[in-house]
Amino acid sequence: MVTVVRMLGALGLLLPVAACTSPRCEPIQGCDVRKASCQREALRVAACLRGSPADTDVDVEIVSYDAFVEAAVREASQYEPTDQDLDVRRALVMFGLSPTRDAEADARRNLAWVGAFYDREVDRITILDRGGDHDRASQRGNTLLLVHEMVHALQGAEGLLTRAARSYEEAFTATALVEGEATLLEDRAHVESLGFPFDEVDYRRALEAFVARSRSAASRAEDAFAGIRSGLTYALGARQLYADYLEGGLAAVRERLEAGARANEALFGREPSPERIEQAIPIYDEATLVASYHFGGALVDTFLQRAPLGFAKNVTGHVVDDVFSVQRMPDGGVVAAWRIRFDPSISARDIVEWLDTETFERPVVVGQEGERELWFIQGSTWSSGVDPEGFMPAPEVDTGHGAELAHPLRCALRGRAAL
Amino acid sequence: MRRAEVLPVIAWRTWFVGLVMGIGVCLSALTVQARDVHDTDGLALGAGIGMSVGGVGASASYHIQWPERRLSLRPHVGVGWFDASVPGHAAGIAGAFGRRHRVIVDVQLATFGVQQLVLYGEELEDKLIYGIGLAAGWEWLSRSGFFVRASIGPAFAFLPPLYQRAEAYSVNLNLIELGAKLW
Repeated sequence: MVTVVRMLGALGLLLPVAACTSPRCEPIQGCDVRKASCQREALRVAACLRGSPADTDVDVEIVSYDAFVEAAVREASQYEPTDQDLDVRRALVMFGLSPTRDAEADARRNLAWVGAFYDREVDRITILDRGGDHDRASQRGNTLLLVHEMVHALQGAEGLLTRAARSYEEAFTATALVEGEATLLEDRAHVESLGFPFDEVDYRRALEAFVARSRSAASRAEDAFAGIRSGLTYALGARQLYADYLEGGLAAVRERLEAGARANEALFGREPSPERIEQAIPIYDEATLVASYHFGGALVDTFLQRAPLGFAKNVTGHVVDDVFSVQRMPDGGVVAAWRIRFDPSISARDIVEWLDTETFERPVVVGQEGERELWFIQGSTWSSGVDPEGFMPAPEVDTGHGAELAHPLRCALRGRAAL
Repeated sequence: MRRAEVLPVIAWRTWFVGLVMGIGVCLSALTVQARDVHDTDGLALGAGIGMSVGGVGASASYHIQWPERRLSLRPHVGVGWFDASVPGHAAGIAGAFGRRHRVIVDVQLATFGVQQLVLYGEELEDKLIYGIGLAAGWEWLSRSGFFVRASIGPAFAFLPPLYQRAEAYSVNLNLIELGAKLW
């Protein structure tokens, strides 16, 4: 009896430990993803690594990459953009964040990096077959890719892919989490199927390299949004979830996933931006507000890195708040203002001084407000007499930052005065 | 972007090292003795290129001979380099028939490659891949003890699970081994 009690006691001590460690899963073998047996195996491994039941039924289809892109291009060409779409795009072009609108080029760019995807609406994984010989090396890569997509299918079954985001930043966070988990588990499957114990590998170093490479790639991408979407979301999400995993195992990962966009604080060092978009940037005289966005730290950092000499610091986790406002002027021109507030580790003055050494291709008006806040303003209608200072809050406006913001704005006009 | 593959069996740039080592061993053998070592049990040292010397490296073996039947058994070990930084090992046993010219059959456990773990451009770990090799070939043993041998045959590498079974089959090649049977 005593022995039984001792055994139960030991079991009681072991259970929390077991809950914090991940299950041991049979490693996956490279296989032909076109075969049902391979698809079942990928689902089994994904479910085991995730600690969730493999009871979802996922369709997998393989389609020609070229045919898929052509269909996407046709669909994109048929879409008639609204005036709002066009104005926002013009604003992003002025900031150097997107290239000029070209439906075909946009569609091709957005698919260029995609190998497979999970469509939650039809519960189907589509693998884009780029031709080539399905040799064993490519089969290994495709098998791991299928594990990644199976993780998304399992996330979809749990309703983790359908949560609404109120802003670009929240959408980024939500995407980073689901892609981060899929990346983490794909990498774990990769490591273990090569015979290395995952918990003994310096995966943190690999993820830091992934973040650095993704950040660099996003800063060089023709379209900053596509650049971020294709790498940085995966890298930042995986890095965060791996930190959670080290701290509390799969349970901590699950908790973070369920937090969804509320995980902003972990990814960016703060809560989601408050919903005060309309008030954040004054509407210029006679202008009409087209749209406002919270873009978040990742895009701010990418923007600063897209200058010929990128800003020396990574500001991703240090943007306390930002608002990007697009306004249409009476003459049809577009003006965009981006107000960014940093935490105490980033000095707005340092950025302004750095900008003095930089040469943006577009006209940029930079305003510094106190030590923590910057304005970037770009317009297509400067020549028609618009005063950029009209977008700045008056000094007497209580911005909540105290007396230091009572100084007049320091503005500098860079580049040519008109597009 | 993040693939880990088994490295090629032998790095070509290290062949020169093996050849120099082999020639050195042979020259020393020629100066050692003139007595007939065809039929005696004894130690042999060699160097060369192939699985039995761990890539490019040296070997030691001991001949156990039955001269009346022209048969011999030769347990052997080898150490070398797969690449400048990757060591290779081998151990096995070979049987031979003949006296001066010998037909050899060899079975060995040897290093067949190195598995690197590379994620996002970062090399995190590596480990040796071992395998079993069979080989048949030829050996020439002079009266003074100088020998040269070569063999080839099938091999089965113990690859990590991600690889398919068919990928484990490869070639067990002992391209050339030169050396001396010391007594």
